[in-house]
Amino acid sequence: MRRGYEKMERYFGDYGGQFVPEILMPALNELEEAYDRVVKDESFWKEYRSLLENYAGRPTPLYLAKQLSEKYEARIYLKREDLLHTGAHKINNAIGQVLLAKCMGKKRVIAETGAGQHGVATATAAALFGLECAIYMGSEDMERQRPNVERMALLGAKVVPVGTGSKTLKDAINEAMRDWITNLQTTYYVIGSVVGPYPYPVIVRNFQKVIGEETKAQVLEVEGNLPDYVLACVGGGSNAAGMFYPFIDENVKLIGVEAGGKGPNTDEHAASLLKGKIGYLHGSKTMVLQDQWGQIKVTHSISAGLDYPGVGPEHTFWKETGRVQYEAVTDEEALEAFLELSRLEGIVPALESAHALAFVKRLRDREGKTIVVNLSGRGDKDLESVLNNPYVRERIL
Amino acid sequence: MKDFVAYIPVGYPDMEVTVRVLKVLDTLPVKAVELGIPFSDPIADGPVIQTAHAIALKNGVTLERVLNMISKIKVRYGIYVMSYLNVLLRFPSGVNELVRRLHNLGVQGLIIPDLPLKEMDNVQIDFPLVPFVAPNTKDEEIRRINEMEAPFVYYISRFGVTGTRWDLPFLDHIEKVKKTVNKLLYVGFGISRPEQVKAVWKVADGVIVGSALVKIMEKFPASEIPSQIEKAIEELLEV
Repeated sequence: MRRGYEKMERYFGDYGGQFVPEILMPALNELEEAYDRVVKDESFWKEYRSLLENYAGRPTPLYLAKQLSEKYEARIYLKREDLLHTGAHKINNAIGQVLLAKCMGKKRVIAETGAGQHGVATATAAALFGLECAIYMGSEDMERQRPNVERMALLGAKVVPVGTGSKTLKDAINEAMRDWITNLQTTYYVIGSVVGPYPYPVIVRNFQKVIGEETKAQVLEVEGNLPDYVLACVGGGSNAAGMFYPFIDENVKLIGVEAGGKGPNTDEHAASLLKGKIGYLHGSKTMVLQDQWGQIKVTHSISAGLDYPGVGPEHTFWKETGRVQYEAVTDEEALEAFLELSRLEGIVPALESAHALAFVKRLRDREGKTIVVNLSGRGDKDLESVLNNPYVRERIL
Repeated sequence: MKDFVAYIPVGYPDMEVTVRVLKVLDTLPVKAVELGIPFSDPIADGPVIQTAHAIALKNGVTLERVLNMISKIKVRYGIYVMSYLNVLLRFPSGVNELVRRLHNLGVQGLIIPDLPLKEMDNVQIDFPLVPFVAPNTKDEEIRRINEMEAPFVYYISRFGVTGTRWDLPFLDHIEKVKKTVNKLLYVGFGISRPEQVKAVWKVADGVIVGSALVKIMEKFPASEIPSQIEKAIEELLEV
C-alpha cells in the first residue's frame, strides 16, 4: 500500500535510506539542513581546510615505497594518512563534523569507536572546539586498544564501556544511538564511518574525499598518469570511500579489502560485502553479516577497526554495479603485511591498513603496474596485540 | 476506562512463561498485546528490554516459533507483532509468506521501531503497520498518517529509549496529536505508574506498558511471574 512518500536522493541506487526510530527523523532533517547550508558556505570550508592543513597536517605525502616496489615488481605508492595528527584518516571527518556541530550550536558531541582512532579524533576535535565529549567503546575493544582509551581520557573525553552483545563496534554504535535519541537537543552524534542513516554516509564520504583528491593530483604529478590500481581496506568503509570517490569516473581499478579473519569461508571474519546479505543495520539498507533469521552475526577480525558486520551503503552500491572489486585477506596475511612494511620500509601500519597492503601480494597482473595503497593509519595502537600474537612471536622473537 | 496494551517479549525468561503470561492477560481488561520478537541489535530499547531480547535469543526464539505459538493460543485480545525490520524482511520463506501467515493468524498489525513514516513506502510489507509519532514529529508528518491504513498510532511519550521513568512531559502535545489524527492514539515509553495511566487516558485512547512488566519478569522466579504480572496490571488499572 502507498503511504505517500517517494524514494529520494537519500539512497545510493537501492541502498542507504533512514531506517531509524521516528524520534530521530527530526534530528536527521536538522543535520541535512545544516549540512546543505555549510556546503554553500565558503567560510566553513575555509576554516575546515585551514585546520586540515595547519592542525591535522594535510596534504599527506604520496610515498613511492622502493623496497616494496622492488619486491613485488610494481610501482607501489603509499598514501600516508598515517602521518596525520592522531595517526589516522579519521581526523579528516572528525574535524569536519565537530565543526558542523559547532555551527549547529550543539554543546556536546558523542561518537562510537572500534579501534579507538575515531574516538581519539573526535575527542581531539572536541577539545579543540571546547565541546563536551563522550565516546562509546565496546569493552572487548577497550582491552585490545588500551593506549587509545588512555588518550581519549587524557583529551578530556568520557569513555563509556559497552558490555552488551559482542562488546565491539556494532554495540558501541547501538549505545551511541540510544544516547543520541535521549539527548537530541544538546548533542551531535559524530559517526566515524560511511555508515548509519542518510545523510551520514554522504557527509562522512565528503569529509574523507580529500584523500582521493590529493592522491589523484599527486600521482598525476609524479607519474603523468592515473594509477592502474587503488587499494584501501574496508570495515565500515570511510577511508576507502574517501579514496575511491574521486576515482569513480576514471579508468582506474579500485579494490576494497575486507577483513577475512580466520578465513572468509569460516564463521570468523568480518567480510560483509563478500559474505553478507542485504539487510537493515544502524539505519541503513546495506550488506550485513546475519544468520538465517536476520539476527546480526558476531564478527571476528584481528583489527578492531574492521570488526563490523555491516558496511557503508555506497560500497554495497559500488559492489552491485561492479565499479569496485571487493576482496578479503585473513588475519595472518594482514600480520605478514604488517611485519613486511615495518621491516622493508620502516613504516609500522595500522592493522586495518595492513589488510589493503596484504592484497598487493595477491594481485596477479601487478608487474610493472602503478598501485596506490591507502595507508589509512599507523600501527602504534596495535603493538600490544600484534606482539602477543603467536604468529608474530614465532617470526620475530 | 480506556485501552490498555501490554508489551510482552516472547521467550523471556522462557517460552513456557510467555504462554502462561498470555493466558493470564486474557483474564484481565487488556485490549491488545504486543508480542516482542527478539533482535540482536534493538537500538530503540533500553537496558531492561535489551536484556530480555538477548535472553530470548539465547533461548532459541525465532519468528517461526512465535508464529507457531500464536497459532496455539486462544485469546480474546488483539495481537500485534513488534519486530525490528531486518527480522521481518529476512523471514526465511519471504516477507509475502510472512504476511500471509500473519493475516491467517488474525494478527492486527506490525509495529516496527526502526521504520519511520518516511521509509514506509520503501519496504514491501503489505500488512497494516503502526505509525509512530514522537514529541518532535512535524505537524505535516502527523497529518499524513490520516491517509494511511493503520490500526492505531503509537505515541512515543519521551525522548529516549524504552524504560521506566517518573515524568510525562508531553501531555499537551499528546492532546494536540489526538485532535489531529483520525485514529486511535496509544501512548507508550516510560509508563509504569497508575497516575500516568490516568493522565494519559484523559487525553489519548490508551496506554502501552512494556518495561514495567519486563522488570517484573526480571525480578521474580518463573513460577510467580504470571501472578505478579496480574497484580501489577490490576494496580496500574486502579484509577
